[in-house]
Amino acid sequence: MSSENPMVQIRGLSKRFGKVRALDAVDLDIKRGRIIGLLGANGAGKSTLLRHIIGLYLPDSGQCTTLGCDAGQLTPAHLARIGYVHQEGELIDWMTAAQLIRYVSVYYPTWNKELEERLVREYEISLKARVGSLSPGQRQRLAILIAICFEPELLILDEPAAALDPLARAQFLDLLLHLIQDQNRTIVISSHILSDVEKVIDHALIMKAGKIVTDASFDALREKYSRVRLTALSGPLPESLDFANVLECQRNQSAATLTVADLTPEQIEAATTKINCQAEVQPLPLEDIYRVVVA
Amino acid sequence: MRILVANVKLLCQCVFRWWTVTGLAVILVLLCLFPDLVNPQTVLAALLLVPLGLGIAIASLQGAVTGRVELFCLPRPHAERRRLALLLGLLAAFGAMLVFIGYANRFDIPPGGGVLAAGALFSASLLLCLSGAAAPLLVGCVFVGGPMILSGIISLFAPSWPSVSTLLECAIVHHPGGVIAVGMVGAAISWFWLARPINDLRYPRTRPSTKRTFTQRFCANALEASERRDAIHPRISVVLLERMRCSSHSGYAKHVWSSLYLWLHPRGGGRTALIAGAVLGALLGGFSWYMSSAFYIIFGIVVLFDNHRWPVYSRLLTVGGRRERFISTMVQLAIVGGVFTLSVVFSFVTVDALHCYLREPVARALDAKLGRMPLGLGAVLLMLTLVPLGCLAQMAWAHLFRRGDSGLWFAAFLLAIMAGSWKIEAPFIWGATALVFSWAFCVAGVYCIVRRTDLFAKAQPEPTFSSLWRAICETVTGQQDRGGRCGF
Repeated sequence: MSSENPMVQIRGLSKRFGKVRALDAVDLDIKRGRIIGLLGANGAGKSTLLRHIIGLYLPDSGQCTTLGCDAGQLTPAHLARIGYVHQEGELIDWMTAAQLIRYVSVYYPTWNKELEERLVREYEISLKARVGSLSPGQRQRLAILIAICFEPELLILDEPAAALDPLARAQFLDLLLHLIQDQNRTIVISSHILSDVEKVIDHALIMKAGKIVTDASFDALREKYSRVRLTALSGPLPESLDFANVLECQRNQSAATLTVADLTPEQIEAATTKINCQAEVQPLPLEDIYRVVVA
Repeated sequence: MRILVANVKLLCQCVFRWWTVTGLAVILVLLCLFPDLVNPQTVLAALLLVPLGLGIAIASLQGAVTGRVELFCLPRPHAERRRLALLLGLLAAFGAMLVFIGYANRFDIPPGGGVLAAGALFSASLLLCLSGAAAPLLVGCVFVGGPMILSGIISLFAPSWPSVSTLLECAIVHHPGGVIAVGMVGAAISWFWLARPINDLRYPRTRPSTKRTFTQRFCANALEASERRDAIHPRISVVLLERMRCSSHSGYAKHVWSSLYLWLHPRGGGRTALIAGAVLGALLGGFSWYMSSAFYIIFGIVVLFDNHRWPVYSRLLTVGGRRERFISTMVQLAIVGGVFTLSVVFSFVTVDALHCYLREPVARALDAKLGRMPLGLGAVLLMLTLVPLGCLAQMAWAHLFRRGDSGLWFAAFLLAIMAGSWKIEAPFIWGATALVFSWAFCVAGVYCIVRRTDLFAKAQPEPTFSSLWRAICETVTGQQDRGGRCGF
């Protein structure tokens, strides 16, 4: 596959569960080497979308192509290039952790034993413990281990850090940062912990009610949305602040904080000069971008 | 709303169990009203088995409620538990008593004897209901080890053990006083057990973490011991894993070896229960035509329903595609079918070998002999017909409700009782046709599930009447179910 071809191509994908429309004509291309953050409220359709990508769910209409193959027809050769951690962290409960790792490892010719040993050590996974008796956090670490150790090209992480404590989450982020050094690896990470996600992603997908409402690079989003702190240089601020595309505004007599979209530094400077105030422009953190987009 | 009423309302939500209870009750009434439908040699055994199943089903209803975490948040939970257990136990036992009085009169058992027998069964039912309610709180055994316990109890009634069968019959019909006393003592013990401190009863389905009682310590030790044994023989494990490793990534062999590895694991594919059932069936199956078929069917279907984890819904989501899941499922299905077929074959051999060591049992109350008789071809065909249908039903249930451990074994038990007690005489050609069609139907059904449905198995709550009805309607009409296209 050439580097131009997307790893995942989705066209008009729709899925309905009973009366609930989980996905509504989703179009998406996931290109090689991207680290994508998939964001959205509970029930927005993130997990459903990810499960379509690995062929667990079949679409009602539309098409999902993963690694050049229809997702519902993925073969072991394709799946050996995909790592998947799902939010439920369900594994084979009756095996011990060691048995599970050994069992999963034989499926993958590219299994990295050194990485396995390092992760077992760092994550303090109790190899003799039965998987079913592990705590949710331990189980999630084990799930991450078996999804990563065969060094997949496409790594899909569905709420991978939800059950992890802060320390483990930091370790996990370090691991992700290490993984993304491989330029060929594509990672899709769905999470509600946006402060973590923004440290690693270079592209953001925001979903709402089964639709992708934003599909843009993270840098573009940060350029698009910004926060402007205005301080009056003399006297109170005027009643009307002459800024275009204001999304949010909090103000008092002498200062104001605006959330704006699609304003260039020149436009902001021109506007601040006009109302005789000082402006400090800051990029929005991902959490605020998400809030603004979804709202 | 009173707490007891609230609990009874919770009970009403356990729809599937209610169906089982109703089905067993109907069978019981039919057995009493139309005994001619049933082979006279097995009517007593059936009459003992059906209330047993009924009692376990009712006990599981109580277990479903008393095991709920919410109950521990209510005031005086242990008192409520007692009252709930007593209410259901009394109702069940009273119903059973009426049925057995009717049965006793029909067979001209002296009125006094009939009342005493009914009293004995009343006590036994009460004991069963109360201890059944306590059992899940002890080790979760009704659910976790249900089939094994059930099979053990059934084996007591297997007419291959004449002394036990005769002893039970004598005890219940001719010495009811003793049974009543045992029942009352058991009920009293259960009654006091239900009032244990909350800490001892919390988290009934998991290992208790604090303040273990003797029983809990015993169970925990047993569990730990089983964990120590919990591995395939290292050499076999190494060989199988090596076979998997060496197999081509795109071929089927890797998944065939994988299925074998999982099945050979003591906890993986229900190996222990399946083999135990097959061995017992091979040893005891040929000693009474109808009961032995019931014995087989109970073992087969119940074991399949409760313990088997089909690769269709493997929790390792990306180790194989849909085609590989189908292959793995077929391999496991073949293993199950093969084990049962071997069991049948061996039963023909063992029935002659063991006959000289066992007396023929006699049911004195009915003046009937339960003779040695190798399995009939009809029973063999029926058993091998039901195995794939049971497997398919389990997968269909998991597809509809995303519940692998659905408790469907109650339904299987119902089916088994019916199949085992009723006269089944079909021409060979019909039996053979049914056998072929059942396996073909099973393969086609599994194929449909694997190729056309969503394969992510996530547990759903206990189905309600409306959800079950909706799921069936959606499946029949071809509309989308919760997360899956219809597979049939």
